[in-house]
Amino acid sequence: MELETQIQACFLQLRAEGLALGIDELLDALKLAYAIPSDQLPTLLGMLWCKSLDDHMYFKSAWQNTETSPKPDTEPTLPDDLINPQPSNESSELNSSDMLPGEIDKTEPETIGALPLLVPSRAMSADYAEFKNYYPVSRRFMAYTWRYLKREMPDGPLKQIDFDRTVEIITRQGFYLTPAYRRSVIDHAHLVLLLDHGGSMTPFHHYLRDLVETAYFESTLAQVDIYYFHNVPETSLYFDLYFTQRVALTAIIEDLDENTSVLLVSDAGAARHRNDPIRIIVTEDFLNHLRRNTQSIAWLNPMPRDRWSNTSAQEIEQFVAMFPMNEDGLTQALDVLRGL
Amino acid sequence: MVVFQRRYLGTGKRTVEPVVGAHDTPEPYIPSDGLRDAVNLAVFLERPLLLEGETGSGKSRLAYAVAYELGLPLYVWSIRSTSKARDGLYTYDAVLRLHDVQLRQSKGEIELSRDPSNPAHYVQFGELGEAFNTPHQSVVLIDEIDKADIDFPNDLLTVLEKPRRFTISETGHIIEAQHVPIVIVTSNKEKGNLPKPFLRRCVYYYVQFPDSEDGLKQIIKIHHLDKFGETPNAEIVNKAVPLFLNIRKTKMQKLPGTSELLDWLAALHYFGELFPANQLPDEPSRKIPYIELLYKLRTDLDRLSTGA
Amino acid sequence: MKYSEQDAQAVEQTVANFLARFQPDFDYEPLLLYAALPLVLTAELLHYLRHRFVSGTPWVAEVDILLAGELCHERGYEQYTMHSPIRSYLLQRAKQHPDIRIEDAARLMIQYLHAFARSQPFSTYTDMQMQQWSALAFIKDMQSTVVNEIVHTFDANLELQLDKGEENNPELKRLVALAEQLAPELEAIRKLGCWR
Repeated sequence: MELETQIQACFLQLRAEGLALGIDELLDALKLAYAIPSDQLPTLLGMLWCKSLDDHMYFKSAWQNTETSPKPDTEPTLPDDLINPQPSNESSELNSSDMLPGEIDKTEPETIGALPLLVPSRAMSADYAEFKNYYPVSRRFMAYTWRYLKREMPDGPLKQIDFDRTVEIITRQGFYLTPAYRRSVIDHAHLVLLLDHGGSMTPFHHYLRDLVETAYFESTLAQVDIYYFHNVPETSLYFDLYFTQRVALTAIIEDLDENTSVLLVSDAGAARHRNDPIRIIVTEDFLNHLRRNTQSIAWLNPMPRDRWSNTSAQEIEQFVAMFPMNEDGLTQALDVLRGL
Repeated sequence: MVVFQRRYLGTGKRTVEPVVGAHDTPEPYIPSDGLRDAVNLAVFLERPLLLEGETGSGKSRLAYAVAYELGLPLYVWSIRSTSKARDGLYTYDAVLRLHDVQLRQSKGEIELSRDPSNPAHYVQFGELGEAFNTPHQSVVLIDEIDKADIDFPNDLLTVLEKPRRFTISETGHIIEAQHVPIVIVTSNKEKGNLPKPFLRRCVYYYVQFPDSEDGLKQIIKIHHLDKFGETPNAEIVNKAVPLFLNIRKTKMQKLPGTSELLDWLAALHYFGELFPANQLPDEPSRKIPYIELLYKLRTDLDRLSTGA
Repeated sequence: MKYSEQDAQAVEQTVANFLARFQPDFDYEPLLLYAALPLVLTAELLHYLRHRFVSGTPWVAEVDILLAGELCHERGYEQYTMHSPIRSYLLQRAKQHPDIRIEDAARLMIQYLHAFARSQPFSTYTDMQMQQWSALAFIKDMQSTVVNEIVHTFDANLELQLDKGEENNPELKRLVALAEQLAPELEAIRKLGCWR
């Protein structure tokens, strides 16, 4: 059957594009094809196979490509009505997110009159959160990796019932008075993030945000402290991105102990290809201060390693473990912090 | 559309015989055609339906509407950052059990509704567990799944596909779903993407916030009638809705959603005298009455001009 | 704005020098041409442009372009603009380049504007309006609409100025500046230039 062939071909093409589709999704697609009129199939198939705008775009072109009756070769551009404002004849409160205008026969997209700038158009509905980023470290990876820093030790208050021991006691003494407790495990991990912000780090702000948010909200580490500096960490840093709430270095250092991991994030001059001796000296000084209370220090450089030579970064790398900010680099940096 | 078993029409009206324990409160929520089709697709394929969209776009209400219209029981599981997948299946109160044992020991043979020698008495089913035990189909709403940590959706997967069963480790009982529940999952997508295996399993639909005058007026009409038994004041609505849309165009940390709009309109109608529509400003300014109902965050309010 | 022969040469040289830094390993030119399209460039927008249209170019090129002081400057928090003469030059080249999909890029820019309207550090509604117009100007079907809108807005502001006797209405200035920038795309707008 033609439709079956198209579904299979489309399925394979989408998998090649990287959509997460498995055999169940193919079988369900075929099941669907037998249950509904074929003109409704693309829309529903889209709901089954696509989980983002990018997915939908790949789907649309794959579906067209695998059409058995050849259609005029259209350039794979974005659908025209992606920039249409809300159509005027709408009575239902929520417009269907019409991802495949080419397939479903609706009225012609209207010409854009006075553009309602900030009113999202129909097909833009799914766009808001659909812009993925493809930075070298995904957010998800960050969120998972932070957990390696956990330092769990059973030295919490005695408040968890130890069932095995309780049963053992009952069996031995033949009666039961009180349950046996065990100490709850407490995570003592303390992560300190020192982030270079603004200036040459501005193109990396998105990265920094991801780091901060995953460390703060998704790492489940006991204590996470974040401080900002501009270009070079000196005697004071800041609680906030806008450098208004100052905090003295001495205060930060006091807070460090053998459970603390310190991670610095800065291009160290590599982004603008600068080699600045003063910057290097000040940085070395700073690191020595930190080392009074903790040895777990690592440095993440958002520029790739091949861009460090002949910059301050190359020098600074001599006295601190520095890694590029990709998945390997982040893993290795955390290994250093764990003492491995 | 196709004849699916117990098809959801999205009319808000119940046309079938409700089962025992059905969710009986009518829900004034009318989905778009696409959303309605997504529901039926998910039911047909026996997959969970994942709804993503801005907060306040009405994602959670859909489950109530489906349960009411189809005359089915509804189980609502509101996810928190501390939620664990197992809690949705069952929880086992070990402490209570030990306490009962101790009570028996000290007070002798007393009447207890629970028998400490039977662990089954200390099992409490979570929302999914209840749904599995229900002798008919039911609707389960897993609300705001993005609040939980990243492993959560994948941990749930094992019960959202065949075989729909889980074991209560404390008693050894195996609970298997008697009917495949209709599972609706909502996510505000605040913390990035959900895990791929979970996404793969779901039928997916993005619920657009109704940023159109007609759309909002429709919602208002339905809700106002439902809550207050009368139609809203047309003059107020005609000025309030464009103003609300203008507010949503400004830079805010927390944009007001449909529930804020409805609360605000209720205040305009019923908090004291009916507010005179011609006194509503056209553009966002501090002259807006009951402004705290729309500007929930201090920072957003501070950013607002004085509206001279 | 007319540039002298010398200026034009200087611009060409600056761009050539920049590109040469990364050759022969990498050809940054396509990405640079896309980077010239938006009025206001953010790291994110450049990232999406690169990913969509020139994914073969390494991601570090985004950083290299934004931080190149001879090409761009930071005009606001996390916002960059290309120097006008550089931008004009690159736009010309973009139009001649067979592989640069200007209209598609314009559509992406508009999508981006809409998707991030609320969280972006654009200072005003007008700012965004300007961005949208400049993006739409690249799309042939939209050009007459854009012209009409700009003229309409211009007239409205002019009236305001005449009514209130305001000197140097900033809105007008910006509209004129925008009109000048878009002039190559929008023939009809040239008449506005005389209102300077």
